[in-house]
Amino acid sequence: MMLIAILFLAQSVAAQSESRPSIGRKAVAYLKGTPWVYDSLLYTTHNKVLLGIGHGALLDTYLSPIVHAGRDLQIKALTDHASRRGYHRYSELEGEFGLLRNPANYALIYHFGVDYSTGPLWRVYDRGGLRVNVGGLYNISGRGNLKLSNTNNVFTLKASTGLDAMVRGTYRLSLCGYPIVMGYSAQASLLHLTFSPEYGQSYYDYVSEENKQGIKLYMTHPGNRFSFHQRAVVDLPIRHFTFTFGIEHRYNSEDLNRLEYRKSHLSLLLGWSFDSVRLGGGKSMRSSFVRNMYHQ
Amino acid sequence: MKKYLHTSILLLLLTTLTGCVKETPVNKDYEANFKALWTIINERYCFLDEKEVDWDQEYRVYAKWLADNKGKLNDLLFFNNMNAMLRQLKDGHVNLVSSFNSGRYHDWMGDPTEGNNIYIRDKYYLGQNYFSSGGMKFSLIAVEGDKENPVGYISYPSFSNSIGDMKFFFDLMNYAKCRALILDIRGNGGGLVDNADKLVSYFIDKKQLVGYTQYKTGPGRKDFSELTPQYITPNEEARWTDKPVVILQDRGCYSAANDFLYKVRVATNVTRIGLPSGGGGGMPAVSELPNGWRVRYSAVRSFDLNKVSVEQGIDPDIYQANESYYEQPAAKDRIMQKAMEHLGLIKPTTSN
Repeated sequence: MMLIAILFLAQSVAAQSESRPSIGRKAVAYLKGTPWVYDSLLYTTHNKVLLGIGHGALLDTYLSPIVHAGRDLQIKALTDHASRRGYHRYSELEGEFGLLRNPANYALIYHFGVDYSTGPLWRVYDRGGLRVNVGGLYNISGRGNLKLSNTNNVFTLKASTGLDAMVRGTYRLSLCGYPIVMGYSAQASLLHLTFSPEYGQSYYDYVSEENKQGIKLYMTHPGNRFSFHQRAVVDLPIRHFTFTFGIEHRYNSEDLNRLEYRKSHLSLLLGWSFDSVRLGGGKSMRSSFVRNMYHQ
Repeated sequence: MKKYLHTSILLLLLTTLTGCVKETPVNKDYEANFKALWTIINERYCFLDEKEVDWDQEYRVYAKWLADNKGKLNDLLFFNNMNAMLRQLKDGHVNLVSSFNSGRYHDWMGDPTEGNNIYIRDKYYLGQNYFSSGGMKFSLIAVEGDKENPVGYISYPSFSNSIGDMKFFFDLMNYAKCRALILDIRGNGGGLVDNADKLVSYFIDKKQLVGYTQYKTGPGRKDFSELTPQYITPNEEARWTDKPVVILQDRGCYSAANDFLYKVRVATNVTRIGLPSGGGGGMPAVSELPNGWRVRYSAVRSFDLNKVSVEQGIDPDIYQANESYYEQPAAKDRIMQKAMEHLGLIKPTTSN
């Protein structure tokens, strides 16, 4: 909606620029912002901070054979540092919280999770504003579900670490002079080491100080554990601020120890993007171009 | 470029639509809920073989009942019949829970008035001046003929409530030169296993193997894990290991109380007197039906040191029953009397 409004405003301004040039130019100049002037090529790290809110659904047969559904909230921080050697150092940290209910009796599952991925992405296509990156990411994640209406199967924990594959495309276009960046990324799990409770195991086996069992890890692959998430975002610059809007879909499926686990969410994303420069040591302290107010 | 964009959007939509968890519709159909309930017990209940329950026969009986009564059923009728099916498991940990009722099986209790006489307990053992700490009540009982050396008495009616300040109790008993402790858990229907383990820890002076547990590893009736040993470490804050402990038990001891009784057997200064406990050696878990009702069932089974299941209850070291105080209002507490005899505080008697 905001994108359409801005485009409409920009077109109106362009149309009126001959009749009322000063207002139109001022408005366009305000929206564009003033560029930062630097006398050399500056390599920045791209960051996105996103808040997602949407609908989640969960089947965790350790807790219940019924799918629970409800609100899902995510907060995520994405960083992408383009190295001069043709690849990107990418990382993504996500926290997730959901309140999911059994539709028949409204019993609640508190769902929470943390997910971190990092690794290199290589540029495989870069032409006409379209850039495509592919790469392998190291991923570590932990997800918990708490259903207080249960007894000795009140809590389940899923944890996993391993290798994911990622593909990402960004397309830069200019609409009426405005640079807009559209992006799409998809990440899928490959080989992982995964922890899951056993079929009828009591959570006491994990919380009991005296008799808790050792942690068993299982080798998983897309055949028994499949995690896939995809995200489409649009970066919309307004003056010196870049809003990011998007949509995200995530699907996790796991069949371990004869337990079924399925989780999906579809969320709208809202956040902002910014570029940062790492100016440590000599870059800032000995540079005449940088005024570091802490050191000087 | 447009071709790529369209393909990408199409791919995005396709993967999004196919990669969503399909929500379970609320289903109040009686046949579907009967099948769901039967399957949960068939695949997850841990005592079907041990109790020699012909669960397939139960399916046939109730499937026929459903077919015969199609169109004539209502929620209450269905609930009562499903509860009757679950009663065949003879398990106090099995409950069918709906919004209007919670089904249960209480026959494991026997006649509770044969074991625990709360009127005598409150009047004579606790009196007015007992200490109340956590879920415990504590008093000192003077012994006829030796009032200098009383007996400590603790009543603990539920493991759902926390253990009292045992250090204070033991310090007080040492100060009062108590000769023994009587721990009365008659009528204790269970609660937290952690509390049962912690209570055992006060009566042992080294780390002890106390028993084993075993859980289901799959839906098959013989899919069980290996036996997992269970250990308890002595309590670091306070212990009562030098002087005798008598534990009073009855059929009302169930679940965590049953756990406590088999685990505390490793303590060398402990003697258990009374009636066999009610059992409940399965740790319960909960599942749900498509209509929103919940079912609780035994999921993890426990074994004593000899690898014998404790589901059917724990025998006391010394058997003693009370006369039912419903039939005889003046009935004496023979279990307590037997405890006093065991401690040498009164002479054995043959009558009330």
